[in-house]
Amino acid sequence: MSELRWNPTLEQWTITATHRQDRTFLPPADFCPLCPTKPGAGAEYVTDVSAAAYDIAVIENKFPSLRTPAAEPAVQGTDLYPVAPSDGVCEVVLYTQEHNATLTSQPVERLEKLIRVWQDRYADLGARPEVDYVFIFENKGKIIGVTIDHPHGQIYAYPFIPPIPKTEIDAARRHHEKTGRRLWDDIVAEELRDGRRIVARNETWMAAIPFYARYPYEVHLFPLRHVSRITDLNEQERHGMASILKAILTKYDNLWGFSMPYMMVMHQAPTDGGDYDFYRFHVEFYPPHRTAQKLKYLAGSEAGAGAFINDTLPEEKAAELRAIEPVSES
Amino acid sequence: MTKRVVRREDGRAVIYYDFEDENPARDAETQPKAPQGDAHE
Repeated sequence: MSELRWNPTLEQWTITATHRQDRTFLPPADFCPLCPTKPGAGAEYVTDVSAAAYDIAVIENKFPSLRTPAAEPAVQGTDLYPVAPSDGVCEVVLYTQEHNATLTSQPVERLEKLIRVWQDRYADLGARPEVDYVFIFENKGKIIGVTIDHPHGQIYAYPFIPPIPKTEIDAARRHHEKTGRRLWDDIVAEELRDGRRIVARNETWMAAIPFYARYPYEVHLFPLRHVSRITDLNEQERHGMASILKAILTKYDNLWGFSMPYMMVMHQAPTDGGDYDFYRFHVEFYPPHRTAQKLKYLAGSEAGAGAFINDTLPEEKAAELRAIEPVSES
Repeated sequence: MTKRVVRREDGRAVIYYDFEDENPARDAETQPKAPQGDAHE
């Protein structure tokens, strides 16, 4: 059973997906469904991925929150509580065949390939008539809720613009109408002018813990040229994005000497046919750690009121990350 | 970059991306077959 249920109090959709209760949960490495099938494996050991020779693979999620055609809704909607089909696509992106790798351990060259795959998926999924928003993300680490260790990201192609991107887009539109300038042009200029919150920079990208960060180590990656979607990146900008991704991921792992859990999300223009030239593509990281041993929980104020309490200053945390050498073995 | 789309028996698509210019040895590999497969998240 799966459907969209309208929440009239927050004016946003909730997706029900009851079949996901039974999804695979932390299988041992020998039974990883995202590893290539081993040669000669019996039928019970055949995985989702059969080709041993590939660079990057994308699989439709076996337990999708969104699917076209959508399943029949479990309930009928009313005027107060509209119900809509949960059309869309959920995909899993396999970064590598190596079970014990991470995105951080991938060389810059592979990250460039991954960006090309992300570009392809954005274009492909965004061209579908039922898809209004393509959301590329990664949940990393058991404390984030990852249920399979194999290094992978995900893509949700929604039939609506999700609330957080919509809030950003609406703010950017109002800023543009009020000032005639793009909001992220001003944000990037302000971060560059101030400088205290910058973590890394190259010719085409910058990384900063922005003035308004909610998590202690919330790094955002911004392309220095205005682009609204990942498909607008040229070759030089793909290289710049891969390089700064590698630098930030490595800094995270070197911060406390363990593989840093995080959520990585990409915000970009919707694919509903609208004009979003005022909105800039960017990447946001939300690591849950506020110290090596302590986590930032989304508690009453954050979950119930939507008001984040950041226990740290972005200026201090950016200086901390900036001082860490992005040195890795790969 | 090339991509090969394989449809599994359960109807799900698997897309294999290859970067043949960077990996010429891959040209000699066999085409993937649709597996039975099991679950992922």
